[in-house]
Amino acid sequence: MNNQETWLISLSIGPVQDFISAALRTRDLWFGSHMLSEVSKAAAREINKHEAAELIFPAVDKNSKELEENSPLNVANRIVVEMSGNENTVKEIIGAGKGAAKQKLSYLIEQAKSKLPIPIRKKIWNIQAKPDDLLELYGTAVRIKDENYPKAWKHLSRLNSARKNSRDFKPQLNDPEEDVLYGLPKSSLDGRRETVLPENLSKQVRRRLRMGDGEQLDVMGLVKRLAGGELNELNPSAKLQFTPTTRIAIDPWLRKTIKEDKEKAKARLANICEKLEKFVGLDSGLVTRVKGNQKNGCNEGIYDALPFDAALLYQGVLDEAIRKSREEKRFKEKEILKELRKDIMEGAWNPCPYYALLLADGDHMGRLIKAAQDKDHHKKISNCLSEFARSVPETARKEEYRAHCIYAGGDDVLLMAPLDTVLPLANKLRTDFTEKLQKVADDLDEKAPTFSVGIVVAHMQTPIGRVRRLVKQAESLAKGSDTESPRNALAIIVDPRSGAEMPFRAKWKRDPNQKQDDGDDDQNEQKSPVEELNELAQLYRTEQLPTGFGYELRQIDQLVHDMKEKEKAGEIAKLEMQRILNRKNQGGGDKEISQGTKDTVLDHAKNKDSFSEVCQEHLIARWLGAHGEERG
Amino acid sequence: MKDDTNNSTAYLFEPKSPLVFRTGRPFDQAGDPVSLDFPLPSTLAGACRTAIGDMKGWNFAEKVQELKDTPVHGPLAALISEDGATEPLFPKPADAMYVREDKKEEHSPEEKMKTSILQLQPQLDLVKQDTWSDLPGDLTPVGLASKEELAGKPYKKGANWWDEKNLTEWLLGKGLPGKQPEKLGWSGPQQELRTHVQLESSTLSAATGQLFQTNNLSFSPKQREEKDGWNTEQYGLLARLPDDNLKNQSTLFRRIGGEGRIARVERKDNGWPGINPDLEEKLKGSNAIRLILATPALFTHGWKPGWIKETSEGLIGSPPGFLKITLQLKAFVTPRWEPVSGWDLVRNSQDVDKGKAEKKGPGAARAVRRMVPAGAVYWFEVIAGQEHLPELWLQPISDDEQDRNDGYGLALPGIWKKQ
Repeated sequence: MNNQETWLISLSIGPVQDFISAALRTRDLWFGSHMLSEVSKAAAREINKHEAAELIFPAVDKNSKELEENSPLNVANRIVVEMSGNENTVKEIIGAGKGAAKQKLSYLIEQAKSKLPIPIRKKIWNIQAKPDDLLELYGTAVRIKDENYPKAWKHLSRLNSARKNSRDFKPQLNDPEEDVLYGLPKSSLDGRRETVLPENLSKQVRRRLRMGDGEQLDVMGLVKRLAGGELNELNPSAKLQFTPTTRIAIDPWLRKTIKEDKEKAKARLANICEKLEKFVGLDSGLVTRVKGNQKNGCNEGIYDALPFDAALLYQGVLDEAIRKSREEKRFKEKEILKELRKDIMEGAWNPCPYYALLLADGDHMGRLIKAAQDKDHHKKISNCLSEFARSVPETARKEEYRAHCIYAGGDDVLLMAPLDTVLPLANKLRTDFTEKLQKVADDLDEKAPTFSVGIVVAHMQTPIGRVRRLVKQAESLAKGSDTESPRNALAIIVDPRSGAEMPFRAKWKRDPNQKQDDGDDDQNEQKSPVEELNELAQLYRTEQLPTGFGYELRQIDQLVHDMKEKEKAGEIAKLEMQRILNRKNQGGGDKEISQGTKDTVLDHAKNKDSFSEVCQEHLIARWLGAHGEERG
Repeated sequence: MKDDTNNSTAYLFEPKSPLVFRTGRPFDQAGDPVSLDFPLPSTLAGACRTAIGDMKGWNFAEKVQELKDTPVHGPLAALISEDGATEPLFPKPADAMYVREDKKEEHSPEEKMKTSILQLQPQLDLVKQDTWSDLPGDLTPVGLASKEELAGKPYKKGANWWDEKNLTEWLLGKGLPGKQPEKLGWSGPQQELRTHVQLESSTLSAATGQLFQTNNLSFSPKQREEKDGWNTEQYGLLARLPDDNLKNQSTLFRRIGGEGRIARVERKDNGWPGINPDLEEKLKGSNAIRLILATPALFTHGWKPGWIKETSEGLIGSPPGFLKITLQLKAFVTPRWEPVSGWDLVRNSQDVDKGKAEKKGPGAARAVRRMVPAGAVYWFEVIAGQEHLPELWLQPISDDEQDRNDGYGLALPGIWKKQ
C-alpha cells in the first residue's frame, strides 16, 4: 500500500426496520434477518474481490469461503474496509458494494416471484420491486493521514453517523402515476406500501401462504414468505426452516410427558403425528412440518419427537379450526380434526401456550472498538464477535436449551426458547460472550464487555410484531439507561394473554460499590438472578409460598412509595413482608410457611436495590412457577 | 399561502377518552394493532371541517370543495392545566440529541446519571478533502461537533414534545445547557392496548375465542415520575383555523379519529403560539436559518421540497407563498419517512359519475405518500428577504396547495449559528 493514499470506508445497509421489524409471522422475522445478512454479505463479498480492499468488519481474508452465499457467517449491516487508492477507488469500491447488495435483493425478489402460487398485481409489483427504493445504502470514507488509524476511525464514525442523519428518500411515484396505487389496501406488515395481492384471494390460497383472512402483503412481505426455499433443496440438511412458536411453546410439556411415561407418551404422540401428517398431505396450510434447527452433521432435528407445528394441539386453536372447517365445508379435514380432538382430550393434556423471545446485545462495545489502535485490533474484535455469533445457534440447540436462534451476528442475538430453558440459556450466553472477548479486551487494557439480555414471555398467538416490540423494550430495560446502574443485566417482561405486562430487571452481578445490607461482599458467592428467580419460582410451583404473596407485596410497595424518607420506607416494607410471611399459610392449605422458605424470601429481598424490585421478582416468579414446567 | 397572521385564536381538542389513530395497515383479528404516535394534520383538518359543515348545516356532498379549501393548521400538542389554561407544545427538533454520559462503574451514581442535550449541526470539517460521502448535492453532513464526539449513549427517555420556552431558546440557537431531557415538556400520549370481544351478529353475545385488540392514545394524566401521586395536567390537540370559521360556537363535542371517540373542542383566544419578539428581531438580520417542521410535510421529491430547484449556484428556492424570501439549502436532518394514505370519501362517488365505478360505495383507500416527519430540520443560507423571515412562523411549506391547507409542513424558523 505504499505511495498511495490509504482510506477507511464504511457502507451501511438498511433499513433494518423493513427487513426485520416488519413481521407478522416468525418466518418474517427470521427470513428478514437472514435476508439482511445475505444482502450485506453480498456487498462484503463483492468488496472483498477488489484487490485494493481489505475487510475489517467483518474481518474476512481474501480467499475465505466465509462470505459464500448462505454460509453460517452472519454479516452485520455495516461493512468497514481499509483500502489503498484515491477518491475514485473509494467510489468504485462503495459502488461495487452497493451494486452487489441491490443485485442480491433483486435475486431474492425474483425467487419469490417465481414461486407465487397466484397471479399478482403486476403493475404494483413492478413499482415496488426496485432495490434502489427498498434499500437504504449509505457510504462514507476518510483518508488515513500520518498513519493515525485511531484518528481516522473516529472521524469515520462521526461522518458515518452524520451521513445517516440525512435520510434522502424519494417518493414512491410521481403524482400523476399515483392513480394505479389508488384504492388498494396496505401491507399488513408495516403499512408502508400497497398490497400486491389480487382482490378476493381464495381462502385456500390464503391458507397456503399462511395468511389471515384480512392479511395483505407487499413485495418485501411476499419475499419474506416465499423466498429462500431452494436453500433446502440445494442443501437438504440446511438448518434454514424456521420453527413455529407453537412448537417451541409445547416443548417443555412434551419433554415432561415423555419423561413421565415414555412408552405411553410415544404411542400417543405417534397417533397424533399420524393425523398431523395427513394435514400436510392435504396441503391445508393448517399444519407445517418442522425440520429446522438440526444438529450439526446429522439429519436429526431436535424437535423430532413432534416434527410439526403444534398449534392444533392447543384446544382453543383446534376448536376454532373445527368451526372453520365446518363453516367452509371442508368435511374431510373436519373429520381428522375431530379425531385429533378425541386424542388430545383423552387423559391430561394441558400444554402451556407461552414461549420466550430473547434479544441480547453486548455492552460497552463502543468503548472497546474506540480503544483499538490499529486495524488488527479491530479485526481481532471482529473475529471474536464472529466466533461468538457462530457459537450461538449451536449453543441454543443443545439438549439442555432446545432453543432456535433467529439471528446472531456481531454482538446481537435474537432467539426463541422454551420457557423452562430460557433463563439458563441467557446466563450461558452472557458468560460465553464475555469469555470470547476477554483476550482482546486484555490486549487493549479494557474490561471485557458485558452482555445485556432482554426476554419477553409471550403467548403463542400474540402477533409477533408486538412480541418483537416488547423484546426490544425488555432489552432496553436490561440496558437500564435511566438507572443508576446501567447494563450488564437481565430483564424479563411477561406479557400475559389477559392482564398487564410484568417487567423485571436484575443485574447479572451487583456493582462492586453498590451497598449491601449484610456485609456479604463476596462476589463469587453471589447468586445469579437466574438462580434466584428459579429458586422463588420453585417455591411457588411447589406451593410453599401462597400465590397471592407477590400481590400483597405490591400493595405494601404502593403504600410506601409516597414516603419521602426512602430508607425508612424500605425498612418498613421489609418488616411488613416479614409480618405477612408469619401470618400467611402455604399455598392451598393451612400449613404455616416453613422457616427455610421465609429465610430464602428474606435473603433475596436483602440484595435488591428497592422494594419494587422485590415485588417484581415475586410476581414474575409466581407466574413462571404457575406456567413453566419444571425442567425435566 | 399567507394568511392573517394576527389571528391567534386556537381550537383546543381535549380528548374525553383515549383516541384511536390507526395506521394504514388492514385491521383484522390476527393483526397487530399499531397506533400512530400522534394524529396526522389531515385527521385534525377533517374533524374541524366536519364541525364547520355541521355548524353551517351544509350538504357535504355539495360543499366538499369549499370545505377542502378551508385551511386548518395543526395539530400541535397542548398542555391543559387544572385551571383550564393551555400551553402549546412542539415536537422535539431532530437536531436535538439526548445523551447520557458513559461513565465507568467507579463513578458516583450522580455522575453516571448525568444526561445532556446536544445540538446536531452541519459539520464543515466533515467535507474537507480527506473525506467522502454519498450525500446528494453539495450538502453538508449533520452531526455532533468533534469535541462533543459521543462520550455517552443516546438517551431515549427524554421529552418528545417541548414547551414554548425551551423551543424558543433552541430556535434562538442558544442550546439548552444544564437542562434535563425529561424536563423539556411532555413525553407524548401513552399507547394503551385494549382487548375486545367480537360479538356474534345473530345473538349479540360474545363469539367464542374471537378476541381482538386495539391500540389507543391516552392523553390523560399519568403517574408522576417521582411516584408521589398523579399529575393533574391533561393534554390535548391544538388547531388553528386561519379564517376562524367556528367563531360562533362556544364549546363543542366532536368525534376525532377512529371508533367514534369524542373530544371537547374549546375556542381559545390567543391560544395559538405567536413568534417570540426576540426571535423575530434576530431573524430579520439573519443570513443563515433553520426551518424545523412542527407538523409532517409532504414534498414532491421526497425529502427535498419541490420549491427548491437545482441551479448552477446550488439548491435554491422560495417557500410557497413567500416569493420575497430566497433560500439556499445547505443541510438537512430527517428521521425515517412515514407513510400517509387515508380514506377518500369523495372520489369513489365521482368515479361513478364518470362511469369508472359501478356503484357508489363508502369510498376508497388513497395511495401511500411519504412524509418527512415532524421535527425534521433544514438549514438554509438566506439569499434575499431577511426581513420577511418571521412571516414563515407556523406557516405550511409543503408543495401542494391542498396539503398546505390540510396543515402539512408547518415551519418554525430559527437561527443557524454557524460554527
